[in-house]
Amino acid sequence: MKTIMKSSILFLVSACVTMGCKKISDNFKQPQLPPPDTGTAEQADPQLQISLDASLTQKERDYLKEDLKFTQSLKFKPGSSAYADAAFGQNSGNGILAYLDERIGHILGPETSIDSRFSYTANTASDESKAVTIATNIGMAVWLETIAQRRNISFFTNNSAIAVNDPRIGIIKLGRAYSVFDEASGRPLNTVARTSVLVHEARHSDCTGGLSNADFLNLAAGELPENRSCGHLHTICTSGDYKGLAACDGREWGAYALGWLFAQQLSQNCDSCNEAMKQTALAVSIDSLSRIPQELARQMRNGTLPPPDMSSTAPKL
Amino acid sequence: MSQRGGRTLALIIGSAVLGSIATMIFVDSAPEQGQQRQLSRKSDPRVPPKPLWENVPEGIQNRDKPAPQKEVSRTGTRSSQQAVKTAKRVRVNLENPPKASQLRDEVQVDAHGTPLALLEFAEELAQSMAGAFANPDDRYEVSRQLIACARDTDSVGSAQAARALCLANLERLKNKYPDELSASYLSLIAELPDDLVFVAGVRTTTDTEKK
Repeated sequence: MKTIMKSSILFLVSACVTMGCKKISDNFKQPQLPPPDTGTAEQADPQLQISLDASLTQKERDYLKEDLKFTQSLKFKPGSSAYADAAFGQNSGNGILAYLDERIGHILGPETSIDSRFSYTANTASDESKAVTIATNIGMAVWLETIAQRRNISFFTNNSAIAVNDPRIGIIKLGRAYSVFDEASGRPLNTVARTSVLVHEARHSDCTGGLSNADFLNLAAGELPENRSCGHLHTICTSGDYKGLAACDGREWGAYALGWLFAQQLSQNCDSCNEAMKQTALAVSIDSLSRIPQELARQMRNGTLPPPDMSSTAPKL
Repeated sequence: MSQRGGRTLALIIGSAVLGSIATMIFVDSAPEQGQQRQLSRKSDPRVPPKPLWENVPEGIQNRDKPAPQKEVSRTGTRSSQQAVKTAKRVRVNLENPPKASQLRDEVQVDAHGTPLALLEFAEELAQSMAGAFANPDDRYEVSRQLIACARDTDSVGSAQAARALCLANLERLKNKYPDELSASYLSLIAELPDDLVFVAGVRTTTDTEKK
C-alpha cells in the first residue's frame, strides 16, 4: 500500500514535469505577495465600515471618533435645503454619516509612507510628512492607476491586502493639521473644520458617470479621463484668491460644492452648533463657494441647478 | 520478480528520477523568488515614473485636446519648504485679516481644506461677534472693524474670503440690530465688488426686490 502511494505521488510529480510544470513553475515564480506587517486596524464605530489604520495616533483616533459622533448628532431644520436632502439623504446627522461611510473606507496616519502601503511604487516625495495638510483621498488616485496600467494593485492595511478595485475604497491619508491646528499650543482644529474636510474628501471617492472607452485610452496614455466628474478632480481656478491654482471644482457638484452644502447647512440651520462652530462653518462655506465656477455657483444659490448625482460607477479591469 | 513487480519498480525509479529533476528546478529557482518579489514591488519597469497622483498639476495634462479649463489629479501633496513656511503663519484678527497671498501659500500646499489662516480668522471673529451680540459698545467697535475689513480699507491685499466673512458677519449684526446698522450695511454693499458680495452669501437689495 505504502509503495503504491509513494509511486502515485512520484507519478504525479513526473507527470507535472512532462505536461504542465512550466505553468506551475511560472506560478511559483510569481507568488501572491504576503502583506507586510501594518499593524491592527480598528473600526471607527461598530455601526460603520470606516477602518482606522494602525498608523493613526490615539489622539487622531479620538478626534476622528469625535467627528463622527458630532456628525451623527447634527440636526438641521427640516426642509431647509433640497440639495442637501439629495446629497445627504435624510439631510441630518445620520444621512451625512451614511454619506461618509459609503465613501471613506480606510483612514491612514500622517506619517504613513504611501509606498509601503501599495503593491506598487508611488515614488512619493520623501519629505511629504512635513506638509501641513488636513487630509487627502489617495484611494481614487490609486484606482485610476489600476485602470491606467490595467493591473491589480493591492492596498495593505490591518495585516492584509485589499484589492483597489473600486473608487469607493476610500483611502484617506490624514495630514498633520487634522490634529494640530496651532503648532505652538498643539490646539486642534475644531470639529466643524475637520468634518468639512472629510465631506470634501469623501466626494473624491465617487466616479460619477463612470468611464467611457475614450477615458480608458486617456488613462492608459497617462492623461486624465474626459469625464472629469469621475473622481471630481480639482480644476485650475480662473478667478478669486486662488486664480491659477488647482483648487477649484470644474464640474457641477464636485468636492467643493459638497463641502459648501455641508458647511452652509451648519452655518444657517444647525440647532446644536455654538457660535465658534457656526463661524467656522461660515468660513468653510464662503471658501468653498469661491472655488466653484461662478455660473454654477449662481445656479446653486438660486436653486436652478439640477440636484447632485450621488452615484458612482466602477468599471472592472 | 514478476512482470507486474518489474513494471512497478520501473515506474518508481522513473518517477523518482523525474521528480528529483523537478525538485531541483523548483529549489534552484527559489532563491530568486524573494529577489524577484522585491524587484517587482519596487522597480517594476511597467510602473511609469510619474504616477497620476504624484507631482500634480505639472505631471498630468491633456496634451491632445485643448480643455477649456485645465484639470489635475487632486491627490498630490506638495510639501517641504513651502509647507514649513505655512506652519509659521502670521497671527490674524479682525484688524489684521488674512491676506490673499497667505491663503494662496496654504492652498498650494493643501488644496482640499479651508486655509488654516481663514479658520483662525473665523475663530477670532467668533469671539468678537459674541461680544458684539452681548454689548452695545462692543457692537459699535466690531461693526466698524467689520466694515473696514470688508472694504479692505488700507488696501493691504486682504483675501476675498476674509472680506466676505466680515461682510456676512456684518449682515448678521444688521439683522439683529437693523435700526443701528441697516444704512451703513446697504451703503457698504453698494460699493463692494459683486463677486465678493456673492460669495459672502448675503442678501442684497436686488434679492429683496425679487422676493
